[in-house]
Amino acid sequence: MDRKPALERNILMSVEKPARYIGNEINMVKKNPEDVDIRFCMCFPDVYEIGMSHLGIQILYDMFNRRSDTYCERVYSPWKDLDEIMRKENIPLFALESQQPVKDFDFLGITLQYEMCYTNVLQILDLSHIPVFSKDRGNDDPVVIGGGPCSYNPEPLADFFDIFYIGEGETVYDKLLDLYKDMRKKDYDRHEFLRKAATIEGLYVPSLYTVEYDDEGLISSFKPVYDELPHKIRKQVATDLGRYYSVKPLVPYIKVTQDRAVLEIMRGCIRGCRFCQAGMIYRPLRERNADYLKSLAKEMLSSTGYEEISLSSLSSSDCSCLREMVYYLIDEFMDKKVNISLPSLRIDAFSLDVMSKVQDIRKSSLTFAPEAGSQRMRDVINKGLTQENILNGAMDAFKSGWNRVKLYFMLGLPTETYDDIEAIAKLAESIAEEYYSIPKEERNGKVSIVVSTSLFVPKPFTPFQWVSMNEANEFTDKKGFLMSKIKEQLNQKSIKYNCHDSEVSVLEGVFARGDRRCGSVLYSAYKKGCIFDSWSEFFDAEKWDEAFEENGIDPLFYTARERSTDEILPWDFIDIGVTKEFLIREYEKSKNAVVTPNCREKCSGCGASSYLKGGCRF
Amino acid sequence: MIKARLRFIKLGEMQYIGHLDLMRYFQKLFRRSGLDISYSKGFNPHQIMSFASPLGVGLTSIGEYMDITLESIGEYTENEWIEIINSHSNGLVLITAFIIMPENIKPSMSLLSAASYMIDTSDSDAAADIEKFFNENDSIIYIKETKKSSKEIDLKKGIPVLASDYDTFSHMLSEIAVNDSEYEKQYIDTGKKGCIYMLCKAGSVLNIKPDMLFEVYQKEIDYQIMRLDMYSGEGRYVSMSVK
Ligand code: SF4
Repeated sequence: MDRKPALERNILMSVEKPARYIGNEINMVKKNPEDVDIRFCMCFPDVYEIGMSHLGIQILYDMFNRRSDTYCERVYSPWKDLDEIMRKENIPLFALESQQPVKDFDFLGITLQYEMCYTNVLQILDLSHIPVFSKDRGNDDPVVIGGGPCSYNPEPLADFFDIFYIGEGETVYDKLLDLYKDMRKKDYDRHEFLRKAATIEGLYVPSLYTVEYDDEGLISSFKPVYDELPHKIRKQVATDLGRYYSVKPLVPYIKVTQDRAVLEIMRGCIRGCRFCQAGMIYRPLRERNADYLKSLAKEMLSSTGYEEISLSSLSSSDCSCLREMVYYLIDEFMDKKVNISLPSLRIDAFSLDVMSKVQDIRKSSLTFAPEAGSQRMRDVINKGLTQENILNGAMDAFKSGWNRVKLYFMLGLPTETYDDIEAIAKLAESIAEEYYSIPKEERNGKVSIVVSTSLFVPKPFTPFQWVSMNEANEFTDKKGFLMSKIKEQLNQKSIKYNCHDSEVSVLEGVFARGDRRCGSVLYSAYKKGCIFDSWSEFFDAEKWDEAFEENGIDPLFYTARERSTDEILPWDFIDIGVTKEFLIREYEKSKNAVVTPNCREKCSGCGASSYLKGGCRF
Repeated sequence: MIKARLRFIKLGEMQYIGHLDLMRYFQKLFRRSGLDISYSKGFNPHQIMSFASPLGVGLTSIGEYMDITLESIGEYTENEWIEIINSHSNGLVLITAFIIMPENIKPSMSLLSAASYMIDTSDSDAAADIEKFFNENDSIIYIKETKKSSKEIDLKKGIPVLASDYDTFSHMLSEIAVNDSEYEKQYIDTGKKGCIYMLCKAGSVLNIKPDMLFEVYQKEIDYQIMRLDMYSGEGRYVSMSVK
């Protein structure tokens, strides 16, 4: 195959970072598109450097390309500069591998990692010259599939996708591709294909379900249009994590966000923090076996030449093979000049020991994520971290030579009062005081504490899926209040405060819990020029306000409104294993600030064990 | 400790990869290949490597040079290493010489005195006209603007050889330099019309780039530059591929 860049030299020379568009990275899979039955284009709808850092795509890329009848390629959002050129010159968006147009593919799979990439999804479709609305696509257009965490409430995107894959990609993609290949052999009809695909477990075809609303705008019914289709879509879970992993991940030429080999040590989380969607949707916990992980680490480092490896999971401190793995990496690779980057670990004797081995204490910082300042608030969110844990951990670290601390919190949590917010400032102050209680000659200069707050956005499939979210002005007031409280502290000079943008979080809140009617807002905003909304330099709140106005949609209906637990939620048709009863139980407990033990301490019967033969075992 | 000089090519789409990214590319390439390269000390050790002259984005080359330091050469010969390294590369960046140097050798960067280029305009008339423009003027003044001042450079002095035909160029060059036209001919189409070949002085004192000539020439033409080789030595230039 003669592989030539899709873009002319003068275009590549005129855009920022042309390497985003040329492909040919180390470990890129090369196949002749003519020799395969199925062409699958995998997309991360954000800029290359972010998309290339995503582990899930690397795993699926490898999995698809193991099939000899399939060629999986990649595409990312063209940056604004190229976007403009492609529109002006009518250049169709192309995949990196073959440099051929995406519209000629059989499938376009788009991973949905955060709500603020939704306008980029429309950009991808539009630049590819694929009809943006599913209903307008014909037999020759690719089948557009969505997946990833945001597909746990796919409704705002229902009009734009043909299929949503709910859950982990490792399970039923083969079935879908086999079905497609089979149906392509005869007279292929797109509608027939989608109808059959919708009977595969885990696949949701939004056009085959209808939604009705009552006078108040609440969902009154949600049902399939054909009898053979399921009423509930069952989340897919890979029960055997030893089957797929990419030992030859792609190695980009330019620096990307995650510029290292990544080893996913486990999936799921035992903690059950009530604000955390990942903690619920990835249940039950599944761990990879240490020997397998060791062989993966070795192979990945030798196939990529990476000089850094990191361990990835939602809460690595809970992984039973963590110690073994960390010491293995240190023993095996440190003298081969491989940096070992540790995920944020709970601060204890073990983590301080390994951190002092793998990083420069003077340059690195400790990270704590208490998420809330007061103990009451932490109990509400079920974050099992006490003030004592934090102060003792910090003290141990200070004694070992650290003097930088990063603290992560959320503002706008349910039942939050101004006292809870003030407690954030006080906690930071206590840490500083802890540091200065060490005799001067044993200290390592000044302490530096960075407090960061993100804004709480209620997510589907969490115990907080019913709660009211703060409005932009409330967030702004709270941020201002916290700032003033930090300024009142004795050691305020050692405390720095960073915070998130309120408007972006509110928009995220709309789409996180939105329904099908939100799709029109998205389309209008895109038409007005909104893309790359997660990039503050491009986010345009005014255009979004107009888009809501024009479509007669009130964002507060989706954000500020508290739902009753018997309301039909837009995502109720998805079965993630974790039951609604469990979520309601957790919601009620949160109101009384009662904590729930983690899965290792005691099973709370969330329902996710239904995925595992013999249930959850610890 | 062993010092080695590598010559490499950088072709096709690799022209869009900048110098820093190319360095990162080599670091990973050497790791994949298993080359026993030396590292600096400290918490973030990096491979000890330096380049004779960074190549700008948009240029291809068949004559790039880098210096590396090895802990040991291992069980392979230099030529075997070339093969191993290239088998781990992407087909567009390839090592074409692996030369063990004396330990006290100066860095290529400080030895560099000239570099040769092929500029492809894909237009025979344009190439002939540039050649004429170059030959008919006694001096060609390029004004180099820096933040503080501007400096006049006479390109006639900075470009010792220029021709629109490869054989003529390589013949003229051979009178003042030890060059390697056999190597170059493996990679370039010497019969291609519309090309300009030139030797430009290079280094820290006077660093001439082919674009400078095109800027003074002032006519709008598209061109693609390929670096052919780099030279050390004053008076008589010697290709850096010569040990
Ligand atoms: S079933 Fe029990 S142990 Fe398993 S994930 Fe749910 S709460 Fe945890």
